[in-house]
Amino acid sequence: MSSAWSSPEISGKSGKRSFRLRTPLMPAAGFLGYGRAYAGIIEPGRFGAIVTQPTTLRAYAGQTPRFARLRAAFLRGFPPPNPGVEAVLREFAPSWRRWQVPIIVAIFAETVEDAVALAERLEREESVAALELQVPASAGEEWLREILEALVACTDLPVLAKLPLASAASLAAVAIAHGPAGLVIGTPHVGYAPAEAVSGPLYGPATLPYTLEALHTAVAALGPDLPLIASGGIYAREDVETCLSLGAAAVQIDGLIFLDPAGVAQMAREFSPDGHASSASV
Amino acid sequence: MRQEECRILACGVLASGHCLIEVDATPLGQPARAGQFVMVRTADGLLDPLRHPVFFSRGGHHAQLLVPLGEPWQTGLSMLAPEETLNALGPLGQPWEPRPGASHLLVLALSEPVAPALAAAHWAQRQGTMVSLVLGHKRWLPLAELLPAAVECTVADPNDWSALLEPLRWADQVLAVLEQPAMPRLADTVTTARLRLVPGFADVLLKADFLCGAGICGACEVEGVRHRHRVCSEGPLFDLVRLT
Repeated sequence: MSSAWSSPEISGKSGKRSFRLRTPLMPAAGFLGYGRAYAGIIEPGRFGAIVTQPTTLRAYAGQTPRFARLRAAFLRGFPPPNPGVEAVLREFAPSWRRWQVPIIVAIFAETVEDAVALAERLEREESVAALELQVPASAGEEWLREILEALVACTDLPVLAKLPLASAASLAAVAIAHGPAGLVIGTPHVGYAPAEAVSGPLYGPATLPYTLEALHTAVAALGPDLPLIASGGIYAREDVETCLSLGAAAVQIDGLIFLDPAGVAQMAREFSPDGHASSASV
Repeated sequence: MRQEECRILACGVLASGHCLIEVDATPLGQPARAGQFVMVRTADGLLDPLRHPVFFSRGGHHAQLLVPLGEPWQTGLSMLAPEETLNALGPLGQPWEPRPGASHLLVLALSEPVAPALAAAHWAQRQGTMVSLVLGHKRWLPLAELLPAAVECTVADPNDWSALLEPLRWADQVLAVLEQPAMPRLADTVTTARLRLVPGFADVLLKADFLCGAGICGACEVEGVRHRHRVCSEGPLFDLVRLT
């Protein structure tokens, strides 16, 4: 593990549900399901936290088609399908309670009412460590202000906000005024594939410079006090180290999980406290 | 499920327009079964950052993968040489089994991917079931050479459903690979031939491209009669009564 990394505290408004990340690596929302995926290859406990599939109050079927293969990248409709919060808790919370890893439930809500209902329901589940609000690319400052203010007020759970890279700089300034436990920077730029009629975030290793630029800007503007989590285009150990050296408190792995789950598992082992650091990339 | 480098035993292009890859699938642990597939990594992740699904045309530890040629990644696979390796994640999907007591299986391979139809024919024949294979294209006839001689193989016009009435009457079980819009036609034809479509009689392959292949991402979800189904992890073979 990088010797410079110090475990950040993810803290809610009351401090009652605070926790520390054991390692800087976690899956990005939507890339490891609810944590049980790739059983036998990826051990959830090797990550600093598990970030779940974006979850809505009610079941959501997602757009169709749901992804498009492009040259050197892929587009994915956002948010992906999910069965709704009650079905998710029924199926997955028993596993979460057994795992020794914080569960960060990614939430997607279009209205303040839905976001608050999600937070209140998830707060009642002891295995949920934090929420990660998925801020859509279309979100304006007013929407973010209202929804974040309501979320932080209604729950003791730490609330992270995952910002779109395209507007991370302006939205980060708004978000920080409303008490998030940290910012995730961020959701990749949205693209469109006309042949498949798919619109959504663009994933692939070439998106990393966008993440680095937004991270660099956010660190300069916000300083070291608020945990910033880098996400988008991280495909190698060197990418993780670059993000940490720029001031990220942790990193999220996205498309690499689908391409090389065994490589991600190896990287998670290398970054875990009892793992073996090596210079190998995946 | 494992992710491993699997050794290529043989690889060649067939006159049917497919690439046949014989592979040592032992590193994957469980032997591959009919209806299952692997997600393969075909190039450097910088060029192609997603895996591709490839179906087994014969299961076991020394398995066969059959890939229709067309897209660049498929052509790339056809250039693999013996002793090279293929990075495979799997086996994935639910294995198919002949129904207990079924003595005659009708396999309809009317569209791509043909591979699972061949794997089912192999497996059923090894279980002692009589197998009739109907191919949807004349150019696929060379594929019959991959099957035991006891498998009866014919070619049919995929749009001529009346030609399937007679084979459907004497079949005990059907496995079909066909375009999704043709599924109601198959259900109607079964009903015409046998008066009703009962659970367990006909399995169909739901065609979908897979993003993760492991039931994580929801990209292959489809609406069934009562529930939504994740094609990659619950299928890709489904009982026709669950879909129509």
